[in-house]
This record gives sequence, structure tokens and C-alpha cells, in this order.
Amino acid sequence: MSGEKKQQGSDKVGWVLFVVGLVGGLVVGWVLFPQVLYSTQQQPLNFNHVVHVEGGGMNCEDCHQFRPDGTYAGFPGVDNCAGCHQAPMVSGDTKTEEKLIAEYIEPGKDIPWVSYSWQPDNVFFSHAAHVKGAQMKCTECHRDVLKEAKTPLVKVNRLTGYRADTMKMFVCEDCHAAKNVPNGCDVCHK
Amino acid sequence: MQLDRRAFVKLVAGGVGGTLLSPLPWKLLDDVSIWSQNWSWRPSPERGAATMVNTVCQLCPGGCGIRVRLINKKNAVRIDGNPNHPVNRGGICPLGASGLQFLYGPSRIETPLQQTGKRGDLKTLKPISWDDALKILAEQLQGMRKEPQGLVCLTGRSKGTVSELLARFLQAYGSPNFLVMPSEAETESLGLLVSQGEAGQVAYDLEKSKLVLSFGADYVGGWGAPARMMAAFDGWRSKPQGERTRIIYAGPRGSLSASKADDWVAIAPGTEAALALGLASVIVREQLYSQAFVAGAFGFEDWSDGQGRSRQGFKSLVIKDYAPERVSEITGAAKEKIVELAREFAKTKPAVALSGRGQGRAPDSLYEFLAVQSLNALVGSLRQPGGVGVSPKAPLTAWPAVAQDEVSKKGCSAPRLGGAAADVPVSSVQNLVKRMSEGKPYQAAMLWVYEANPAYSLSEGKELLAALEKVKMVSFSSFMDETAMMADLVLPAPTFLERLEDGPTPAGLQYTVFNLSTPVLKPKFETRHPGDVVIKLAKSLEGSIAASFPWNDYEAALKERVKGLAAGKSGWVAAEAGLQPWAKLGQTLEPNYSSFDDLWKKLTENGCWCDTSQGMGAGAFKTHSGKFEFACQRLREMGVAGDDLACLPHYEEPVLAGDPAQYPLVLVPYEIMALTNGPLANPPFMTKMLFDFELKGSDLCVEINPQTAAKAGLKEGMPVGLKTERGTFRARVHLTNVARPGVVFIPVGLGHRGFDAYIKGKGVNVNEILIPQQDRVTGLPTWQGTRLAIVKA
Repeated sequence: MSGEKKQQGSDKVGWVLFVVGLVGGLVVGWVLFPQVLYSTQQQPLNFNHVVHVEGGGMNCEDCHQFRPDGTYAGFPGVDNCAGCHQAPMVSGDTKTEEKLIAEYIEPGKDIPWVSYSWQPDNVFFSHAAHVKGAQMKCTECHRDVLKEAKTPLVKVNRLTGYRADTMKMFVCEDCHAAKNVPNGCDVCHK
Repeated sequence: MQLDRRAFVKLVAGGVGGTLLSPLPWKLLDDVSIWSQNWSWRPSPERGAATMVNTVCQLCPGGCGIRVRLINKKNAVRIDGNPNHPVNRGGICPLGASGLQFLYGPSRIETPLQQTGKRGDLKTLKPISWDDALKILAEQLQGMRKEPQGLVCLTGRSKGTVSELLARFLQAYGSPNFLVMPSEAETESLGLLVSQGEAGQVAYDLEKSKLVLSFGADYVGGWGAPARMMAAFDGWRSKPQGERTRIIYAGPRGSLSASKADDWVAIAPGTEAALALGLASVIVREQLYSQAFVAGAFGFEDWSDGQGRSRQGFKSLVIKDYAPERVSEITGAAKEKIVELAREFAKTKPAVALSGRGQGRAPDSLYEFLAVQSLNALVGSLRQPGGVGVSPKAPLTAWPAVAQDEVSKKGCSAPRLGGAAADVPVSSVQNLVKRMSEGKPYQAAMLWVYEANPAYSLSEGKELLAALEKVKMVSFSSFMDETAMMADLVLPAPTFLERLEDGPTPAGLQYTVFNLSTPVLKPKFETRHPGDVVIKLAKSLEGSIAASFPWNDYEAALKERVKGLAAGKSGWVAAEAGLQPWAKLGQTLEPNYSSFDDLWKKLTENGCWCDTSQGMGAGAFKTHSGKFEFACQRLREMGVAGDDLACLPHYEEPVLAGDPAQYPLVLVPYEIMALTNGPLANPPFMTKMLFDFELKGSDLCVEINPQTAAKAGLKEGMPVGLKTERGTFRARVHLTNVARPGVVFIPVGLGHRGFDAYIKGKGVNVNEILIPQQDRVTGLPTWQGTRLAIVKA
């Protein structure tokens, strides 16, 4: 009898341990793993989209431009900033602006922004085809920055170098399929 | 509580289950598969804004306008044809499209080099500063000045401002030994001088021709200005049925041009002149020639010379010696075909015959050139729309005369080391090599090599290297070619994308072109413009040498010449697409620039100035008779041996080196677009274009007719030894009907020992077994054929 009891007690403990293991596994997989997998990078400067859009009355296109040949210019060059910030113009927290002027505008150096959605060289992606051709909104792929007062950290995969926000291939494919546009390999991989 | 085995298994199972329900394993699986895509050491092109810069290709004398795509204004990523350039009209050849591989390839020479050990040892070819290199060279030149004729300059580029500066330096220094690598352009120039009174190059008004008869000219395989020829061919073939230009190709090999022609007349190698004269014979006999033109020409009928001696004229020569029966025997073409061809050529207007076999770069015999051009004259195609003429020269300002001191005058009057037997204005590199090794009539002391690779391109490469034992050699090459490897001093030039350079009217063009290449990016290495080097060197020398170079640099010297274009009051800078200068031949063009400065600015932006005002020649010919001369009196004056025939185009049976019993086959080299054979070696992109029946692995394939192969017991792809009196090499045979029976065709351009790992050791160099004939007038090597035997590999 006592052996049987012991056996039952052991079973209970065993199931408790199973649940402990399960919960532990879930915590590792969902919470710890992403923290370990991604390193975080701070942008060289904080860029306050709210101040520029609401306060400065600027449009997205004032900084995020297409070149005359139709290619997307990527991050705005420092000339864009210098257009307004050649001399200090901000009241209140001026530290960021001081840094902007001293480290970038005066030496004429582009700000080394880190991309949130960097695609590697084996991907051919044309912004013009999507924005000008297919008339898509930026926010269909990118986060909405209009309410962003503080630039978020950039999460970079330690193994692959991919950004956490880089679009995966299946997302491209799903959208292409849904919109009935070519999905062949050579559309994106030249 | 005690953790027994079962409990532990449950803990682990729970852990595994939990993990499997999280993204961990799936994410890791995905990451592993894309792990390598962002490796930091993987080469990654810089991203950025693209710009297009116009310039002109200098990789061959074709003179094509190109557009270079730059990223961030500093990384060149692509070369395209410039659609505004009238020569190539947006087209580009494989060499031009691969141009960036010369800029970024590993064979670039990065600094000046000095040989500190044994010649040819690359380990002892040590970097040296530009100041030291120029100091050493100036000291050596100063030391040689007592015998200035010992300085020899060999260039692969006969025209252009750098060559002019080099020639000028030699003249000021006191040497008559400025030589150009063997080239059909030299033969052509002499041919025009003796028959039409003016040295120059032949202009073909091909865009308007109704019939084109090619005597071995590979018109879509690199002959003339290659991209212009492609465009012209496109024009001939795009005309509606019935108006299409007829194309006839005569030659021994079924080249690309033969396959694109309406008719291919297969003839024995080296018999092009006989065929041309055979056609002339029929045309004369049937009186199909242009009576009007012939009436105004000299030497058609028999004539009498200054001493009152009767001399044979062209008419009696062709009737007597070149009846179709005899020409059929010589060439192997059917008699009926010769007659048919002659009638067609005479009756179709305008018709034009092309001279210059293959790509028209390797010299042919002078009499062959004269025979083909006489055919053009005979049917009245000379100076006619759709016919031939002389390429007009750009009205560049002449520099002030060279200041010569006594040493210079004495040196320049010494006999030329490259002089031919006859007193012709052609330089023979074969004679130079011979005289250099003999040390007679005087010892050469220093050899400069510019835009040429004689150690590879000459059949006398080995003899040249032996002759160099007593001679210092200076190379201006941008690449570690076979000649630069043997140099004592290397003064590397920037590549064509990094320097200012002018280009003359390309071969065969009927209107004037002045091309200007501008640097599209900063020099990648410590290179200097050869023009600047020559000017700097001149300024550091004593005597009157410095006085002959009043310019600060190459750009100043070039600008002075270009002023003449602005002063000419005719011509366009090609800045828009669709220019067709050939359609305006003979008309004055309202300049689209206002001053010299404006012209220079537009030239640097667009690359090309063109003009049509001079046409293809007009007025009296500058010969003694003032007429076109079928019998070229000047040849006798130049001391060319032979009686009446010395002046008349005729066929001379080539004397091939080797005993026919021992060497039963004939070797004929051929050129193709996928192999460059000038001073450069193939870039990797172009080598990729070779078929595996041209280059199999590292083995060169030679073309042989299946009949000939069957007799010798050869099968497709078999390795064989090819033996001539000069040497033996190993190759594979490719059995094909494009090869004439009894002839082995070998492509030119492989078998490099220099340049980079991508081309080194691929195939064999045909020059190593070729024994060219020396043309008896020009002294230039001609590829008539070499006797060859197939031996065991």
C-alpha cells in the first residue's frame, strides 16, 4: 500500500515538475530568447517626428525623398537638417540640437542613422515601384512615426545581422500574391 | 522531495514542450538559413545616388562614346553606350562593356616600379616613388645624350596627343626612332599616299552603300570601328525587301561576317588581291567600268615615264595577268562566280569593296590594299556617296616647331632602326628587332613602350627580349602585361576612365570625329598621365629639349590643339541622340558652341565633336599627275624594287615558311570579338563569351576541316601538337566546315603569361609559332600563312 502511495505522490511531483518545465520553456522561448537574440542599438541622435510634423509643419517628403532618377534616397542627408538648423533654433531641450550642429552640420557629415528594415544585397527592392507605381502608403510596411517623439532602439539579430523589423520574404510574397503581381524569384533576386 | 528519473524526464519533457510552443526553435531554424547573408566580410557594394558620366572608350581605336554609371560619384558600376555619340549610337562591344574590369582588376600597376634584380623577376620589381623614378630616367637620358638616336619609342597608338608628345620628345632629344606597332593603318596610309597623294585613312560611306564586297574584312567581327559597323549592318539589313544592301564576303574562313553575308566566296588564304584583280579584269574586258572616272585617272592605259619609256598600265595588266581562268586557279573560286561577282559589283551603284582582312588591324600587303581600292576606283565609287574616300582630318592647331639643338639635329639624321628597304614613311618593328639585336648601324640604348605589348604581340617576342639585353626598357603600361614584366622601369598610366585623352577619327569613318575622354573618377593608384610624364621629363633635361615643351601639363598641350576646332567654324558637339553626320557629308554644320571655352566645356561633358564640311575628299589629287593613280609613280621614287609591277597593284604568291613535304598544312591566325588582341588581355567577362570549342578549360582549340581531320586521323576535341619552323605548341582540334581544307585556323589573343590569374595560362599564343611574311614594300609583318604540321601532343 505504502509503495502505491509513494508512487502516487511521486506522480504528482512529476506532473508539477512537468508544468514547471513547460512554463520555464515558454518563458525562455518567449521572453529570454528574444532578449538574448537581439542586440539593441541606439540611434546617434534622437529624432522627434512629432515636433517636426506638428510643430514645424513639415511633410514626410521634406526629408524622405526620391532622387530625380526615381530611386529612393534612403536616409535624409545632413543638408536636409542644415536647411533649418544651420544656426540653433530650438528652445527648451537644446542638447540634441547642439550635438546635431557641432558633430554633423558643421563638419558636413551625414548622420549615421541605423536602418530599422535593412534588406541585404541579395534583395532588389524598389521603393519607386511600390510608392509611385503601386501607390502604397509608407505605413503599409513601416511603422507609423507621426506620433513618435523618441526614436526607438534598433534591434539587430546577433546571428544574422538582420533587423528585427526587416520584412520577411513571406510577407512580400503574400502581398504580391494578394495584389496579383509577379512573384517569381527574379522579381526580387536579380 | 526526491527527484527520481521519471520526474526528471517529465521536467525535461515539459521544458521541451514549452520551448516548442515558443518561437525559439523556428526562429533559430530560419536564422541559420539566412545566417550568411549579412556577413560583414562579404563584399557589398556601397549604396547611394547614381549618376551617369559621358566619356569615350579608349580600349580599342573604335572611338565609341560611353556612359559610366557611378554610385556616390566615386564607384563605377556599369558602362553603357552613349546614345548621343554618332559613331556607336548607343551600341557597345563586349570589350567596352567589360571596361570596369580593367579599372578594378588585379593586373593594375599601383606605383612606379624599378627592376632591382634580374630582368623579368617580378619579386625584384620594387615600388619606387615618382620623384625617384623620374630622376633616374632623366639621369639615364642625360647620360645617353651624346648618342641620342639610341632612344627608341614603340607605341601601339599612332595618333593622339600623347603619341604626338612622345614623337615630339624623340625629335627634340634627337632620335628618329619613333615606331608604331605593326598595323594595317600604316599600310593604308602609305597606299593612299602613293595612289591619291595624301597619307591618311580610308573613309567608307557604308551607310549609303547598296553593295558591300568584303575582301576578308570581318565587318561585324571587329573591323573598322566595331560598334559603327554593327549599326551600319543593322541599317543594311533593316531596309525593305528589294532595297536591302547586298553583302558579299570573300575569304578563306567562314567568319561571323561570312555567315551574315548574302554570299560567301571561299578563297585560298592570302589570295584576296588576286580575286580583286580578277574582278577588275572582267570589269575592264566587259567595259563595265566608269568611263568618266577612268578618263580622269592616271595609269589606267599604258603610260610613259619621265625618260619616255613605255610603262604598263592597269588595264593591260589585269587583262593579261588576271583573266578569270587564272584567278580561279589561284583563289580556288569558280570562274563563273568571278565573272558574276564582277558584273554585280560594277552594275550595282553605289558599291564598295572593303580592304583589311579580319579586324583590319594586322597589316596586309600594300599591293593587296591597292588592288582592292583600285576596284573601288574602277567602278567610280571614289569620293561618291556610298563609296570610299579619305577620312578628313580634324583641324587641330599645330604646335610650334620643335626646337632642335645640334645634338638633336645630328641624332635625327641617323638612319631609322625601323626603316624598310624602300624609303617609305612606315616603321617596321621586325626590322627594329633585327637591328637592335645586331647593334647595327648603331646600338639602341633605351626602349620606351606605350600602349603596346610587343613581348606578347610580336612573333619576334623572343628575339625582342634577347635584343633587350643591352637596352634599358621603360614601360608606361597600366597593367602588368608581358612587356611591363620585362621592363627596367615602369611608369604606370591611369586607365582610360581616370584620365584625359583625345581620340582621332576612328578607322573607316567618312566624317571627322574628335573624341575626348575625361576622367570619370579619381585615379585609384599612384599613376601619372604619360603626357604629363613626358612634359615633366623634358623640362628636367638640358639642351633645347625643355624649350620644345612650353606647356605646364598634358591638358594645356591638348587644349592648344583643340583651339583649332573652335576656329574652324563648322562642327557639332554630339549632345543629342539621332545625329547622322553621314547624311550631311560635304555640308558645313552650324557650330553648336560659341567659343573655345564653350566647346571645351561641352566636349568634356559629351565626349565627341564631329564635322562633315570636308566630305571624303575633293579637288585635285596631290599626286604627281594630279589624278588618282592606278600606277603609283611615287612607289618607284621611293625605291621599290621591280619594274613596271612596282607601281601597279598585283598579286604576289606568298612564300610560306616551311617545307610543304614536312609541313603539309597552312596556319592562318584569325581574330574574334570575344578576344581582344591589342595591348590588352581579355577581361573575365569576355573570356566567359568563348565557346568550349574555342577554349576548353585551359586548352586552346584550333579550327580544322573535317576532311583534313579525317586524313590525319583526328577526332573532335583531340589534343594535338602544332608544329611550325618556329616552334610547337599543344592545342585541341575543333572540326568545322568554316575552316577551309588544308588550313588550320588559330584565334589570336590567348596564351598570356602576364596580366592576372583570370587570363594567365589560358590557351596558347599563336604568335609563338607564327612566322609572318615581311611585306616587301612596307616591311610590316603580314599574316599570309605559315606552314604547319600536326604532331603527337
